[in-house]
Amino acid sequence: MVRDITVSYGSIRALDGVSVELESGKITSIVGPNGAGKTTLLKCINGIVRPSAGVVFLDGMDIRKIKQIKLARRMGHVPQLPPLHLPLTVFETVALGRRPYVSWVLSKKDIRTVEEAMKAVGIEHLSDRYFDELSGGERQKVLIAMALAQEPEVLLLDEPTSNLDIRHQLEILNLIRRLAREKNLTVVMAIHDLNLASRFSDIMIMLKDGRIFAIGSPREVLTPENIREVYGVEVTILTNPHLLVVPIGVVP
Amino acid sequence: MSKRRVFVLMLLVLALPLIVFISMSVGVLPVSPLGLILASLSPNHEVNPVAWAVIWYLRLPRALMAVMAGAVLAIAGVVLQGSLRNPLVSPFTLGVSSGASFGAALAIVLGVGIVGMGAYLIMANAFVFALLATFITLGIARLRGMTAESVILAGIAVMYMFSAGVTLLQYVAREWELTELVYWLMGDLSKASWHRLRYTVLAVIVCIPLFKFAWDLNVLMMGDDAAKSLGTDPSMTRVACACLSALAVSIVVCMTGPIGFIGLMAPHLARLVVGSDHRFLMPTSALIGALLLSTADLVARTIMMPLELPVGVVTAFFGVPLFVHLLLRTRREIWR
Repeated sequence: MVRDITVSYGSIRALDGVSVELESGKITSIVGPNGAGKTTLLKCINGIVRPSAGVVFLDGMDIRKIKQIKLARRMGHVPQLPPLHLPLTVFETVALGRRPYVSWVLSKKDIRTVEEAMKAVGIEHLSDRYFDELSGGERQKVLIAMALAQEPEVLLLDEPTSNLDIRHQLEILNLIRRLAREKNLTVVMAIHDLNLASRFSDIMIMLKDGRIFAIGSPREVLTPENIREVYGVEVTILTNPHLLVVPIGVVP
Repeated sequence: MSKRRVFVLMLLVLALPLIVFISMSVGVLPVSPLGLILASLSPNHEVNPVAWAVIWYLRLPRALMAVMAGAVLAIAGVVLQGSLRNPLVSPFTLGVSSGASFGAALAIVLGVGIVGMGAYLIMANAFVFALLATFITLGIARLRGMTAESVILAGIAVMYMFSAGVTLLQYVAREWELTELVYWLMGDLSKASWHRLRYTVLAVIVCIPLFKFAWDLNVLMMGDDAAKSLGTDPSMTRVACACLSALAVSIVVCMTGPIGFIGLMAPHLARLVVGSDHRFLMPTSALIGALLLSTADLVARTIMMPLELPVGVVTAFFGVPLFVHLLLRTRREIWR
C-alpha cells in the first residue's frame, strides 16, 4: 500500500524509502523517537503531504489520482494537535466529517451518520456542548467521531493517547480496537507509549531517521537490542502476562 | 440552536425594510411615513414634488446603498476572518482600502488615472489600485505557500506602502485638493445615486459565490492539515475568498471611500448570535452589516442636522468601543 516513500523538507529527509503493506481490520502502530517520521508517514498516507518520491496506493489505486474530496470519503485522519480554539458545538464539529459528502444542507442521512459516530465513541450526551469546554479525553473522542462520520475505510490517528490519563488512554485504544474489528477498518496510529502500543497493535513499525528499522508483531519489534539502537535507551523486557518495556537508563 | 438561528435571521430580515423606511422619513426635510408611501406610490409629482424628489433621488438610493455596501463589507469580513483564521482581520487587511485611497489620491492630487474624468477618474483609479494592492498581497503571500500568516503579513506590508504613498500625495497636494482628498478618505454615502447603485448591486452579486465556501470555511477552523484531509484545499479557498471579496469590496470602496469597522464588527456580532457555522454566520453577518451601516448613516445624517458627518467617522465611533471590548476579552470568547 505504501511504496518507497521519500519526503524531504529542505535538506532534511523526513522519510527515506519507506514501504509498508497495511491490512484491514488490523491496527498498525508506528513507533520511533521524536522526529523519526511518524507524523510525516501518516500525512503521506492521507495525501496531506506529497512525497517527493514513491507512491501511496489505496486498493491498488495511486492516491494522487484520487480527488482529495473522494479520498476524504475513504480515509479519516485524527490530528495530533486538536485546534486550541474551536467555537463549535460537539455536533457541529462531528458534522465537519460530513464535509466530503455535503454541499450545503445536512441531509437526514448525514445527521444520522453524525449521531451514530457520536454514539460509537460514547459522546452523544455532549452533543450541544461547546468543543472548547471539553476535557482532553472528550476532545479526542470528538475528533475520532468526526473521522468516523467520514465513513472511512482507513483511519489514521496521530498520537491518540498523548495528554490523556491512563483511564482515557485505555478507553480510547479499546474504542479504536473495537472500531477496527467491527467496521473492518484499516487503522494506522502513531504512538509514543511502547507498552500501550504493544497491547493494542497487531503490527508494529519502528522508524528510525525516516527509515523502517523493524516491522512485525510487537514481540518481534520490541526487543532490548532494537530499542537500544533506535532510542538509545537500555531496557528490560518483561513478557508476563503482558509485554512490558522497563527503561533502565540512557545509553551513554 | 437551529430554530434560534432561523428566528434571528427572520428578525434581521424584518428589521432591514424598517431601517430603510426610517432612513427615508428622517432628515432635514421630515416626511411623514404616510406621505412617504403616497409619494412612492404616485410617480406623477402631484403629492409633493419636493418630498418625492428628496426621497426618490436622494434618500432611497442612499438607504439602499447603505444596505448593500454594509452587507458586502460584512460578508468580505466574515470570509476573510474565516479563511485566514484570524479574528482581527477585516476586508481592508488585504490592502484594499489603502490601495483605493492611493488610487483616489493620485486622481485628486495629480489628476492622473486610468480612464474617465472627474468623479469617474477617482472611482476608476480607486477600483484599480484596490485590486492591485490585493494582487500584490496575494503575490507576496504565494511565495510563502499562501498560509494565513503570510497573507496577513503581506497585507499589512502593502497597506503601509500605499498609506505612505497617500501621505506623500497629501504632502504635495494644494489646499483644495487636500480638502477633497481628506473628505474622500473619510468614507461616506452622500454620493449615492441610482446610477452608482447599479455597481453596488454588482458587488453584491460578486459576493454570492462566496456562500459556496461555507463548508470549506467551517473545516478550515480545524487547521490546514485537517481541512485537507476533509477534502478542502486551504490555499485555493483562501485565494478564492480573497479575490472575490477584494473585488466586491473594491467596487464598494471606490464609490464610498473606506468605511471602516463594519467588516470587522458585523462578523463578531453575528458570531455572538448564531455561532460559527458559516452557513448561518455568512447571511447573518451580511444582514447585521447592512443594519449597522444603515444605522450609522442615519446617525451621520441626523445627529448634527443640517450638518452631515462622514459615515466612516460614525462607524469608527461605534467600532472603537467594540474593538477595545474584543481586545479585553480572551481569544476563546471572541470566537464564540
